[in-house]
Amino acid sequence: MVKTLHTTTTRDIAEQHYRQLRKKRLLIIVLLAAACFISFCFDMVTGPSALSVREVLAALFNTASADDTTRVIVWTVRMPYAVMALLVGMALSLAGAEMQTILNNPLASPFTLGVSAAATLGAALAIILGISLPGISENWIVSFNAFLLAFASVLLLQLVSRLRNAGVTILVLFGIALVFTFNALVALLHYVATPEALQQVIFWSMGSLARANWEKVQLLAVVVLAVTPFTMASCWKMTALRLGEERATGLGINIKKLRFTSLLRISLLASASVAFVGTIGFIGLVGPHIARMLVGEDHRYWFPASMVTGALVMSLASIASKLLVPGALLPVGIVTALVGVPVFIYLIMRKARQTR
Amino acid sequence: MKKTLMLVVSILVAGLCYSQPVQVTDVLGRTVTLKKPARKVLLGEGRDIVTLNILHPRPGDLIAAWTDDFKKTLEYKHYLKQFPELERIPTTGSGAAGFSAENAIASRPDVAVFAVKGHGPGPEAKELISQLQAAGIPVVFIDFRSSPFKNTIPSIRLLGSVLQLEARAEAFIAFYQSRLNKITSVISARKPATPAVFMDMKAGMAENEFNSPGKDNLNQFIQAAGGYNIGADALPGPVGQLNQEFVISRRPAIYIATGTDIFRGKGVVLGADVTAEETAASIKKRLQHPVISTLPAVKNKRVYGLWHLFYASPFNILATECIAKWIHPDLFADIDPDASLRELNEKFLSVPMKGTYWISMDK
Amino acid sequence: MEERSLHIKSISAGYPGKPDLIRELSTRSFNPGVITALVGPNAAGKSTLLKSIAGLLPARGEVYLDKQNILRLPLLKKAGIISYMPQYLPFDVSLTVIESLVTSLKVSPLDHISAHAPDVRKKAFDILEKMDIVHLAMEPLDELSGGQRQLVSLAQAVVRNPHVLLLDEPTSALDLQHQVSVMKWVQDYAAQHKIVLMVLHDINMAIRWADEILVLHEGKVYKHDTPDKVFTPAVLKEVYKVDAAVEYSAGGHLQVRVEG
Repeated sequence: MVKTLHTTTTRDIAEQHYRQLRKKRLLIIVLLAAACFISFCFDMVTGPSALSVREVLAALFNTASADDTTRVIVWTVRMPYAVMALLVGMALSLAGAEMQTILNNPLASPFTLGVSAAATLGAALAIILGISLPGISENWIVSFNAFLLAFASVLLLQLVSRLRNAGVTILVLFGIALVFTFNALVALLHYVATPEALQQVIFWSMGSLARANWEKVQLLAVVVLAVTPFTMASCWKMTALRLGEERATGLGINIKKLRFTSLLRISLLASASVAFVGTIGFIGLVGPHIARMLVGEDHRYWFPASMVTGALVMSLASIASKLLVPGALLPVGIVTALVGVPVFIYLIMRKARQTR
Repeated sequence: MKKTLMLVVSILVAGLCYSQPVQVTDVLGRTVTLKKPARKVLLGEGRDIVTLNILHPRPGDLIAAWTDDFKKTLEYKHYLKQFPELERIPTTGSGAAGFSAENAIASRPDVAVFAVKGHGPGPEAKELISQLQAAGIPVVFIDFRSSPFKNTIPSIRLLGSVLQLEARAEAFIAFYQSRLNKITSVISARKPATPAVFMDMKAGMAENEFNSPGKDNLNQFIQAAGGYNIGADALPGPVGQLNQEFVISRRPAIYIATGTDIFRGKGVVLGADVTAEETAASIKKRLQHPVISTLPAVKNKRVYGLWHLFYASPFNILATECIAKWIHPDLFADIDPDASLRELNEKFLSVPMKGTYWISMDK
Repeated sequence: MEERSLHIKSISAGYPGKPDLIRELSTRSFNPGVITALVGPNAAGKSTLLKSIAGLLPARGEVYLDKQNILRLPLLKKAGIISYMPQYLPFDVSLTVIESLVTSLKVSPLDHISAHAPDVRKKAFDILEKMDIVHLAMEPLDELSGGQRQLVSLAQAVVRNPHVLLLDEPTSALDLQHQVSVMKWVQDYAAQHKIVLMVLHDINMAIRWADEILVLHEGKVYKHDTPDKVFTPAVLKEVYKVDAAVEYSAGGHLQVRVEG
């Protein structure tokens, strides 16, 4: 009541707008998360077998009453697939967001510096030559190798950039060099592979959510849960980095350390995803992009928004793949592109209209 | 005098025959003329040495150069044991992309034998084909893969003419034709119901991948044998991956896993030197997959294993015999693929197929 | 009121892999309340010196704030004392003005400013209001005009209330009106007993706005004094290799006019 006695100043209006903006951003994240949940529910009730919603619900909440087939479809096929879609979307999109900030490049993705090429090399080593570390069970050697090489490639990248005291450009150039090297090594392996093994490597590198099972879902969930708090803890520093390296340093940020820890998180997220489902491109580029258009680059909002956007796009892609070619499995990367590109173009067009 | 004349004439005729041009039509319908019958061939897919073994007891002698795909298999070790000189055959690289036209031409083959579809150079390798033709090396196409039952016989006949080994070619064709006729005649006469078959191609090689034939290739094996391949409904191409739920929802009555020795340790293993125990164990492991274990086929023990490489082999008839017997045991009680294999090994192959090429686990 | 002053003792710095741009450079003290302009020809080492003090370039030697060698201070500590305003704000950043200020405050803890969110926001709005740009608070950085960008950049630099403010060409590419508003603000800031060092290209700007001039020449301090003592034709001839006249305008202001 007292306030109304004063005339509202420009400052009051600005403060009020800022309050509204923060609320709006939170709301967008909540809505995206709700959309993820709805999409997940749709994902759970779509599939080539004509299970009714009632049957799915029965199998979910009254598992004992469901027959074997329904139970397996709901719990062993649909559920891990649907959860994996959300997790992979979150992991890759968050990794993409971090990468775009530390490389100061909106076109960067988690795979820019060779993580997926390294993972493919690891998988090819396992598939073609059966090479892995001892003590890894046969079911896991492909995933394990993929993860190991992906992670090792980032460490190598770090090492070189530290030795040479290199900046972003050198880091990117070295990453690109790694991509070419790994691709060449994979091609070399192709040369010694039998045609059947070769086909398997190609299938692997295309990426598929169908590789999900509960163990992989759990592992990826652990990775995402373990990494996210560190990401969120760095959100002010990452936002400050957007104000330029000099300003960020002036604000007391050790940029090299920030980049290193961020790259570690990126490599964990990207390596784990790529190890379990293969290379799914695009999501790590477009998830953060859509999120940026929706909530801007205050990383407190942008990181979570990227996660839920990525999860949503992946989940929609999962549904679309089941509707597009019922029965068959489309490489999910194709579907993410099919689903994501229209959304992406729409947002860019809308933004272009606004700025005009 | 008369005798001498006869001799001279017959020698002349024989010589003439040998040096006479050979005109053949390959499976693509191309008419190809060889100046004289071929002694040495260039193999676009090394695995076709097995095909040559049908026609010749020392197949390596017929090969001027080959791609290295066969050298990566266990069968190669069998061949090498008998014919150590195979090691010295020049290779033209790996697959279609790594194919060396220069090595191919330098090996001076009389003819190049390429597969219509496969891992070697195919009809789309136009540049390579024109280079070979410019070097005086005609190219013929054979096919055991895209239309196995239409093209196997013409392919064998073609090779018989090109190499002037018609007698053995015709003997194999008779072996093949009689078996195929038997199956097709029973199927067309009795018109049995076609049970749903899930063929788990390269089973278990990646835990959660369910590869299946689509509308081509192994699908034709299943069709010929009186079955209905569930993958044909979902996959437009020759192979593809099926949604696991789709597999469950089709309730397949028969489960056939295919595999080769390269999947040892990971997936289902069949092929040269593989024991039936190993195959059975590898299939049992695959059956533990929660999706596969719920299939009616598995519950009813209609579980079988087949060597994967039958898909591109003139011995596809053996696979078809197996599948027919598995799908319609009552209709094909008198078919005996094991006997067919024995006959094949005795009559045709100097390097016999030894190992486990199929297995029935319905007992 | 802080009365600590800054002085530099024998620092050398440059870019990796190249000979040092400044060599064993020492200065007398820069005092609170005084604006010092660093001038000199290209490659004299002006920006290098500024960045060395800010800790953006590795430097050998000592920079004392009172008795404390700030080159040895950890980045975080230093960030509470010194602020550096880069020549340009980066483009393609999806942040609003207020977000950039809140970030500048939140990113590292400060002894003299509470990290409590409402306090931070109040502080950020305060500075905008003081600089009379509160109407820009909700503007995206990318949509600001050149002059507005510099003002916002300055706001980012001073929002933490640093004792030492370092400015690298703060007015380049600004029109006259914005030059004046930026420099007026810098003057006000110095008046709060702050040390201000700025690199300026334009000698007349330096004369107009700075209390002291430090002329850098070939990596050394050539002269460090009040404008009227520094800018003589002889100095200009030697440092800038130009013939220039130094005269007083009608208003009594010192003016350098380059001839030819």
